[in-house]
Amino acid sequence: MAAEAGEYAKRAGVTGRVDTAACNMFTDDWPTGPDAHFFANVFHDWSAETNTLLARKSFEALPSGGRIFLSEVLMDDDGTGPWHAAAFSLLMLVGTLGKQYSLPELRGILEGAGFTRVEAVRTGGGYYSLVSAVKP
Amino acid sequence: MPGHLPPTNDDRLIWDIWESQFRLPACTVADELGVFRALGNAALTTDELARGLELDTHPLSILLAALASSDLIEKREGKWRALPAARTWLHPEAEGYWGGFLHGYRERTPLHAQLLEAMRTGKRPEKFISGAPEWERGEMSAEAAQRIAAFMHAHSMAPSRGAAAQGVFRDVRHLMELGCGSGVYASKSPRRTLASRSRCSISPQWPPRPANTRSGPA
Repeated sequence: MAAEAGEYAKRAGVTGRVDTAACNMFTDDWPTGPDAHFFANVFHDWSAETNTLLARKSFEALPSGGRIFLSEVLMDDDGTGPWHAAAFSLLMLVGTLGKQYSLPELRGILEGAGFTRVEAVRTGGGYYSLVSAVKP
Repeated sequence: MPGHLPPTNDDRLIWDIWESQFRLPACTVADELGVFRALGNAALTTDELARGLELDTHPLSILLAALASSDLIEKREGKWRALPAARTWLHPEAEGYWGGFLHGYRERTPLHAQLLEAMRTGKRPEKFISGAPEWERGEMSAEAAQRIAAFMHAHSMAPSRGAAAQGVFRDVRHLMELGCGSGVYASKSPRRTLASRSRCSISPQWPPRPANTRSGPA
């Protein structure tokens, strides 16, 4: 995947400011230095327990004041929709071990790892939201 | 002048077309599992319905959300109940039951069997093609990496442009993007980025997915 991502960076003409690195995000130590970690469509692939581990590893690797970002299609708080999240969750059901999460569920995972100031904004005009939190 | 146009931050029309594939299988699977009969006859919690149908609550809660957002069932005070349209046309004892029509689509719609298998086993269907097996093994062929990167790149383009336009990373000095994909967010970010493409393997000690994953309110 690192090689493939590198090809995309090359095509986009951003190799001067984008590096790629292969690591096992579950078992390897994460690089220190970045002040923000970003997961796009990653948490929806995994169980709450696995996501808790990822959040904890992020918390450990970030400096104080560092931030974690999650790009996800969010379920409503009561788990009844909306359709675009529920349908995506059906794909997660047959294709991964996860589901689409609600903001309260992601807040629980992030705050459980030590993050604070969990909030979400819609990104652009589509269905995605960006959840963010801060390491105190 | 080229015939194509540059991407925007709004791709909902394409999402809606793609996600329409799940409408019919969600309905036919619920019909085959007896969800409409159960929720037509009584208001039940997710746990009560799961026990009655002998299903895992994790897949059931996902299916119920799809049915609720299709206006077939509703959730009130923690209990699910079939709405009039489902009680009229999808309850097996109803005079207007659509089963005779819908049953024919169980075999004609591949997603039906895959979704039904996931509902009944709580596991990912063997025949469904996804990147998950490669991630779990910690090994990925070049072909699989190309397929997954292209898949992720396509549906991440609009939100990555939206994030960049809104300046959500404006105070970030060094962003590290983790997971499997093309690094499109990193490419759109104006600052230095490290796109870390995890092999996503799982150690033997890895905890399995829990039987119950709550999907309700906080």
